[in-house]
Amino acid sequence: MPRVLAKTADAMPSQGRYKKVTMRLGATVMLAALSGLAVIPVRLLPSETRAAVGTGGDDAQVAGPAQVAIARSEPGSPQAVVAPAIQYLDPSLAPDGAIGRATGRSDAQSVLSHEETSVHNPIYASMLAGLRVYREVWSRLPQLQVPATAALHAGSSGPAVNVLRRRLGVQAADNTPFSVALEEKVRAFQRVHALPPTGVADGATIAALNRGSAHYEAIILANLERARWLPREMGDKFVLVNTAAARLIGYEHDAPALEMKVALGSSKRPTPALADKIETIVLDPSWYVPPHLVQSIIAPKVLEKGLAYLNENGFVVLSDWSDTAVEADPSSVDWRAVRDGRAYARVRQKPGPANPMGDTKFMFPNRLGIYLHDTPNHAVFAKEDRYVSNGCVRVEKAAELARFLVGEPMPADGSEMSREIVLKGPVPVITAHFTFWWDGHNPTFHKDVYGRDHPLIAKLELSRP
Amino acid sequence: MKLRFTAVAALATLAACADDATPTQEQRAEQLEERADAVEQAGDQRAERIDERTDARAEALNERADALEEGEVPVGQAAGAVSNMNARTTPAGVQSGRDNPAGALPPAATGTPPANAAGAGENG
Repeated sequence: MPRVLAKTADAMPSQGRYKKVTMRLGATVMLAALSGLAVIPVRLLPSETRAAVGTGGDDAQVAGPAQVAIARSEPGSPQAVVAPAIQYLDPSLAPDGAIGRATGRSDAQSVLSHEETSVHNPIYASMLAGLRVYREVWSRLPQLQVPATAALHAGSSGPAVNVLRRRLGVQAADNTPFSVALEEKVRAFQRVHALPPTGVADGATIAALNRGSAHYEAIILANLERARWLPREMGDKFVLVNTAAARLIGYEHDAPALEMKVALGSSKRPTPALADKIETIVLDPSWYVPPHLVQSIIAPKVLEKGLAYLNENGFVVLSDWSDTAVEADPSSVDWRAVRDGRAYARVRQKPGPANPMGDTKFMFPNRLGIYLHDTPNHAVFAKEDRYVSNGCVRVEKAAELARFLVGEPMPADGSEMSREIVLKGPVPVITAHFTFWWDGHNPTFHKDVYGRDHPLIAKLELSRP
Repeated sequence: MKLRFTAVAALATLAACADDATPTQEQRAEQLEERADAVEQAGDQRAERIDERTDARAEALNERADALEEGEVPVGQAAGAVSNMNARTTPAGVQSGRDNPAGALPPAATGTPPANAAGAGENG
């Protein structure tokens, strides 16, 4: 084998960069002006600031075009407009028309009567259909208050059962015991309203019944508002991650073509609402550890176990944050300062079974550090509560998603090297918090794990008859 | 050293062309001489550091070559394979994992990360 006699340090060749152009406020206003919209003096409603890193919740301040509130209105009439709480990381996905809805005492009936033809996306159309069905099935029932007694179940009887029966529209004479038909109706109500379908009218079920359909219609209207924020043109394919349902849907020609479970950011680090485009798929990827995890996890471990911890777990320290960074000497890092937040270190984990990116990651490089990726821990997908990540979206079927994006089976894996697949055309990816969903058959509410409904409903000043 | 040669040449010119060097000229010549010495010393130190670093790198690479020959390191983990993997897996296009031997690695920058994809990392 040839031997090295002398060699100087090499300059690393520059790799292809991923660049994003951020649309600035001025550009958005110009777009609005060009499209004939009135850019009205707006009062952006106050937002509660999240302490967590996850931004883009309905109550979060967002940057870029999302901060621009535009509405069709008479020029010069100051009006409060709810700014879209979604980050258009790819500015081409930002709607160029009326984005935010003006606040007002709108209700479900007026929304259905004045359907916005300017909003063209399949999610919005689906939401409208779901609203109609919900009103037909559940809102027409008598909005009676069921006495909050002990749980009512098959065989129960008494005044509370009588009210429950009338509340759910089940025909029977008073003092008839809790029947199988009533149990089925309770179960149907529970399925729609994000409750365990037990058929038993327990405290949570009675509370949901007593909130009344107006409460749920307001939630649907808030979700319609979120649907209005979606891009108008998303091409032949796009990926929607519904953070409220913890599910991913791949759309092809505006129809669902792929669906799977996902695991999402915890309530401390919620997955933000964003719109971007997936550009590449990386197989057998590395993991670039975000600074906050280097501080909270890696630095304490290094201080506890020494530098050997890094090598044992496949971590390497990089020289800097550029695209020409090289492996650096980990002993040059003051790990105590990193742990204390006085210094930073860029750390990468090599591909391997412990790598949290799993076998595949779907790249849309962004300043939020949010991506879609596989996971080595597939047990999480057997759980109902899948809010476990640091904000990224862990997908249940990475290979299927890759095949959907590429449009053909993935190339055979004949090497041990990481491979990058550049998509022929970038595919839009949306993360949005739809706590109401219509799948074409059943309207369904989802638990509002990130607590985004109430602030949005309040901002929209939705009326409750 | 080039500068030293220039300084000496300047001194020779002064000696040849002037009848007697004035005190100012002498002072200037001394300054040039000192500066030349300083530059030469710095150059020597730098060359020494580069020599040490390249020697260490060569030594480590040779050790690795020996290990590969003796079968102590799986061929699949050779430098090229790791390098290729890393080069393709970063949002910023970072190339890393080269066969930097211990002692030859550069120090890590520990300043504030930039507000871009590289600085954000991947939250996982």
